[in-house]
Amino acid sequence: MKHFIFLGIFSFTILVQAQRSDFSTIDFQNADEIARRYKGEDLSNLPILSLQLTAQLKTDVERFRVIYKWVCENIKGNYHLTTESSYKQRKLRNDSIALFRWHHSFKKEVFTKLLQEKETLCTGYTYLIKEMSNLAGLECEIINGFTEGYHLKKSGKEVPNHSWNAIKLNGKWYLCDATWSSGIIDMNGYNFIFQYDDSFFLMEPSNFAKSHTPIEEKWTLLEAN
Amino acid sequence: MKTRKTTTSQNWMKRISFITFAVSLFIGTSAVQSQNEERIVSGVVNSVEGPIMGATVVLKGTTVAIPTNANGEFVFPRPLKEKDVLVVSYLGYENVEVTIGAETTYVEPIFKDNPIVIYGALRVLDASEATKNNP
Repeated sequence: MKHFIFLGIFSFTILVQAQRSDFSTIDFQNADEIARRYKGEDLSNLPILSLQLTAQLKTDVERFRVIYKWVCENIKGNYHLTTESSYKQRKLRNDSIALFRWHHSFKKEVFTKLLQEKETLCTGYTYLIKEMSNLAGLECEIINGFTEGYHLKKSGKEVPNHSWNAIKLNGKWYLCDATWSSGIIDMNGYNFIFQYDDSFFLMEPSNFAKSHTPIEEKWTLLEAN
Repeated sequence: MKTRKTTTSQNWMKRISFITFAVSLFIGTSAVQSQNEERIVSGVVNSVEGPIMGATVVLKGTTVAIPTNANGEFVFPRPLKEKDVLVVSYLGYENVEVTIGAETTYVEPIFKDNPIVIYGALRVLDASEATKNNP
């Protein structure tokens, strides 16, 4: 009897966890092919780009997939923006007015760079994923928080250092991190190398939680919430 | 005499009511016309800091669009009718939707600042993970 109860709880947990295997019957080849077809498009007209990418696809998960894939394969991570953001946020964390002023002008710099050079830091990735998803009629949020390996994380005094997305598909929220899926920084020349990593696409929440801690706990999407 | 007078005033009443009817018919018809009438819509796109060059104005649900010029101005390339919706967007600002009214020929959408907060500090990783360094 005990075994049955455990089995029951176990299978319930599997059902609740929002993960990619929920869509195991869907082949993403079509979406990936469309993303490739629009490689190199610029960002000056997001509503149309979003429409072009998603118009031929029938399911929400495929529509999200094409946006995710396009962003990951077309937007470069910029090491210097990241360093500046990190440095200034730590330096100005006790001076809210200076932080506000800096953030205001930095935000402009970030969006100009994204628009003109398609280079950004994590917020730029999450912004595009959210905007393009919203334009395609999908509910999507930016989640801010901390990542593993950040030495001041546990002190509780540090500002968040990373952002990622939550996307609602078939009434259920899922997690993904386009910044980490997109590629890596080569520390020799601080250059970005595209290297798509599919594991962060709709990653199972308990696995995602190993490297991502959101400010708001509910966004861990773990079943306790 | 008395009867004639009444008749004249009755005629006048008739005339006035006819004129009122005709005028109201005319107003009614023209109102209906202006609702269905397509017209060229122009406008200027601003943020709180001034005009935005290169913002996109797109007719919702279509791929018909036009970017704004150096003064933030645009003339939409397709005539629009009442209840058409223009989506105005620019990277970093929240989209603005403008619904075309019965007589709209000029619009002035204003972007609100996007409340987004920029994060992206460098992760501190040990040497073995250095190549996986991500912004």
